[in-house]
Amino acid sequence: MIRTCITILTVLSIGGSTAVAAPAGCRWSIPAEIVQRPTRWLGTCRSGAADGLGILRAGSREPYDFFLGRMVHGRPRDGIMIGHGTEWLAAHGFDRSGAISPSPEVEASDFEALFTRGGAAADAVARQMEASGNKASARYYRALAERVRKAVPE
Amino acid sequence: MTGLFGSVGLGGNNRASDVLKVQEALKDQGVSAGPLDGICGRRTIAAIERFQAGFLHRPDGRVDLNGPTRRRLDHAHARSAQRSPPPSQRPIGQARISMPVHRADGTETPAPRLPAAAAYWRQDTPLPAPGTVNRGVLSPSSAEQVARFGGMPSSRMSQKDGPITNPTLLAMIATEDVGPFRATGLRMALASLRSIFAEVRRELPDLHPLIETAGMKVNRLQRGSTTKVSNHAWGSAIDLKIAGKLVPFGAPNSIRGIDALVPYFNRAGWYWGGGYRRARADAMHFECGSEMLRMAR
Repeated sequence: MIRTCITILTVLSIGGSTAVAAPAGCRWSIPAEIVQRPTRWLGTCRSGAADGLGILRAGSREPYDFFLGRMVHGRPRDGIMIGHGTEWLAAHGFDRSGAISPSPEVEASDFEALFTRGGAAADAVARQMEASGNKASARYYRALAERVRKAVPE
Repeated sequence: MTGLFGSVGLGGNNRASDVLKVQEALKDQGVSAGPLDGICGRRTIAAIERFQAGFLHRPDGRVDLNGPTRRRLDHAHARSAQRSPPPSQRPIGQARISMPVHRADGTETPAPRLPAAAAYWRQDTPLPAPGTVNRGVLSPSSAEQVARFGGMPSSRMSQKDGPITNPTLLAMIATEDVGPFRATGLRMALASLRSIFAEVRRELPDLHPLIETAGMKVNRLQRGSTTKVSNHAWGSAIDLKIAGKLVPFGAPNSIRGIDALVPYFNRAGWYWGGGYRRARADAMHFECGSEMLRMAR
């Protein structure tokens, strides 16, 4: 099913408040594991495509699906995904279909870096929210950042 | 079903002769477990679950020696006239084609389905009851490892990864292929992993390619501690995920793919982190047990 959605300038609803989203005309590919729709990119866009560290949020109500990580030219590079609030996935890369690429050699430090970057992405979104006066959303993303940091295996 | 010597199914001992008996018993009840081959793969586990669905609120895919599933199988022949037919097979997933997109005009394409094997092995499962895993395997203490390797991994340790400088330990660390992936850790642990995964490849062929590592060696202290060394710092622990899925630290659950690996690791002398006390449960984590470490060369 193809669902039409409109990327309205910068405002969307999160948990009853508003949040900063990508500008209109920004495009992005969606990791195959992110199943809910619509999706919103909370991060920067360059040349009409999502690019840099940020959060892709999917769904219209809690529990959302999240991709917290890096986009390059509109395609996800790597990051942590949380599906339906409880399903955690780590992606060191994606194939052309958006599926997580097998990672035949991963150092623990690389794995932990995914969580560090995921937490940083949520912190950055929280700061954006704070700056735009959305305190509830800022709290929401700070809590998400903390949750990601605490999830790293010992 | 006479002469069953151990548990069969998810996380079971899965002795081939026992698996065969369970497969035959299931077949007798009209529940297909695939080929009668004595291998406890996904189809056998799914068949046990389908059989259990008739009488258990939460099927666990396992036949324990003195458990309800064994009793039901033993008496199923007499009850077969009253039993409802087993639920149908799980749907088979579709292959993926291209990455879903959010276009600049706001339209979006839907997500594809996950392949059946990945969807199965990634399902959440509850953590096992205390005492049902890691039997006879002890988790080594930090002090025990310091004594074994003649000191800390490095003279200065923090919460961040750093180089190992302990010469005794360093001489035992290598990077090797262990089957589904390459890893860096204690040579003895790598050899053990190779042996475990070779067994898994034979017995659970559709799980084997989905096994991924989240890392083995990382030289740092345990989180929140200024003195205790992470077992990963010794290269004696490994974190595993299944087709990208991980279990967050402290989560009250595991996943099927990990559960299926636990008996292989326990038999080889590894301790599973799913057996830690609840608040510190770490279902992705496996570490060389005390006995294994004593033999490290």
